[in-house]
Amino acid sequence: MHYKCNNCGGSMVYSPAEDVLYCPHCEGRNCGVLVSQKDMDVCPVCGAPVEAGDFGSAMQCGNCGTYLILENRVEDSYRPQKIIPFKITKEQAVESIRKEFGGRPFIPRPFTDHKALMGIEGVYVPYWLHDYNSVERFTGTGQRVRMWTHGDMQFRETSYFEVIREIGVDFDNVPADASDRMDDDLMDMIEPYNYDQMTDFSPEFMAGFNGEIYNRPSQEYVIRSRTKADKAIRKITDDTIHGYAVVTPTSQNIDARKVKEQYVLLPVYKYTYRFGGKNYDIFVNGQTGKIAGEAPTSVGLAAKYTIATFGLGFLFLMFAGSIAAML
Amino acid sequence: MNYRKLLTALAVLTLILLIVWLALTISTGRLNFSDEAEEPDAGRTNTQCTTEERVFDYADVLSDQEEEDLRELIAKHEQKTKCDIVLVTLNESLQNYQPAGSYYVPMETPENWIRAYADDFWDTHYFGYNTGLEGDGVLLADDWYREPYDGKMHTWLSTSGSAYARLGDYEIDRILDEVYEDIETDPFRAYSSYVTYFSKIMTSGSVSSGPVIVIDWYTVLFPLILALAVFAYFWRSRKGRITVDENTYINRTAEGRGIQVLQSHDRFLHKHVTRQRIVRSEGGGGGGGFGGGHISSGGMSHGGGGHSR
Ligand SMILES: [Zn+2]
Ligand SMILES: [Zn+2]
Repeated sequence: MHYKCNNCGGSMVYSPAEDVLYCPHCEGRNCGVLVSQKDMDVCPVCGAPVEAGDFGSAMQCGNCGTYLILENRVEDSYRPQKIIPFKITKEQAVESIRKEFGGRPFIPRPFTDHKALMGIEGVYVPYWLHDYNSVERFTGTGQRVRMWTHGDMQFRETSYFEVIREIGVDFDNVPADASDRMDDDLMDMIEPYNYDQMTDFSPEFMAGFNGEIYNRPSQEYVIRSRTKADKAIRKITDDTIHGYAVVTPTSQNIDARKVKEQYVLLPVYKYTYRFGGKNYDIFVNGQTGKIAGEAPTSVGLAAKYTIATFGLGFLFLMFAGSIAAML
Repeated sequence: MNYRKLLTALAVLTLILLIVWLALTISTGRLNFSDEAEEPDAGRTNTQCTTEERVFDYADVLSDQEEEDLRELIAKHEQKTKCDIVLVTLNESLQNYQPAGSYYVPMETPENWIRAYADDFWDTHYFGYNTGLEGDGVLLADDWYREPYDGKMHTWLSTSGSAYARLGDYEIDRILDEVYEDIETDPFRAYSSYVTYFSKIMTSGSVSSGPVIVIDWYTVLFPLILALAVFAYFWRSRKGRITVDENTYINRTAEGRGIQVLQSHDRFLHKHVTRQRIVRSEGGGGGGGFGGGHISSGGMSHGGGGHSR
């Protein structure tokens, strides 16, 4: 399916700035009609074949530029329960990448060229959100140490305590991205999302963006979300233990009951730049604008700046030295 | 933007200068890391020298205190340069000076007279850091007597051994220029700069034929550290930062229970006390230093140069 402009027949897109469907051709707002088509091997507008891949749910027709949404990939078991629509625009994402990397001297300049940056891809990434009721049971031995001197003797008193904690924590919306092509570390770095802005899913939000369906079922991503929840409760439990020089755990286990799971789409801008035979990915949180990713560094630029710094410093000191000698 | 081109030019220029400098230092044999690092300081090895004195103030232009200060300065720089550094001041005509043990050769100009005196003074006292025969070192002879022959006072710097090899006409002129800068107003300062400037030239790696650019270690080290810091800072950009913490996912809504402490206790088990006699540690000793090597002695005769005022 796609959204067609009633005025000019153009392909409508969702505008994060205005939260409306927008026609880039005639600048009309909320003037779209949904053109439904269940089976989509070819573009309904121009008839060119649609390359959706295994997981693609929304893309632009490579031939005519129509923004397409694959209906059978947003329905039934693939229908997301919730979505956080894009809140920042492509221009804002580009600007924040440029702000982050533009001033760094070793980064090749084309990396922050406007033209290259406009190739940034806005994609709705599939996520499983898991809720956990977790309980950590901790037992261990704590040591307190007191030292004093008497005469020329030093005394050291070690007291041993049994430490027992049982801490319950309810976790909400612990995310695990269900897209295998997205780097897990980077996806963790653009977190957190503000789930208060999560709304019921509507395919309108996907118009003009790319989208993916969950690559694998929820159960296969539990390990990702469990790791995050377990790490959090461990820290919370540790914080309740004070006053010991050393704490040695004797048993420590976490029960986590998954009480809810949701399939949601979260907005991400992805910028890929190829340099020196390697792909460099930058991710931007489409809701908050937070950036993660590594920019390429150019050996040539690095050498140039390093040597030039040395030369400048050297010249400066020589100059200062000769001035000082004249005085 | 143009500053990138400017930086490129600067980097290329720096590289070229470094390469040229390196090529020159290596080709002129001034760069000899292994010798310098490995050869231990043998100290002064001359056993033939007839005197401990270095400051012969016959003209009496220096106070006793100044002489003492100068001796100290010389001792310090002799160690640094591995050269004997001698100063002779005079107040007499050398027109009829005849070197000891040689037959009388009438000499044409006052320059020749004072040169003969300086070289002879060196030879007869068997100066030289390493040996008394053509050993390493310099001698400055400064005659405060105005020769009627040309109405001028004459000064001569006599070089021997490593100093002869190291100091060309250019360097000798530079040293004498330094001396003459203050000689009328402050002889002590003038003779001090003779010692320090000589030492600077002997210990710097600059090229004999070109102008003496004395490069101190910090002139190279500080920019190098700065450059490496710049490199380290910009080389790898951080991938990003984790900004979720243990509180991010906690459900604090009405239906969530947030954090609940279900059980918490700390029960005393037992304690034990150990004791230890306090041992006061003794301080350790320090290490020694080592100096540079020496350059093998050059030609047969003295080198030198003179100025007059
Ligand atoms: Zn339109
Ligand atoms: Zn098409």
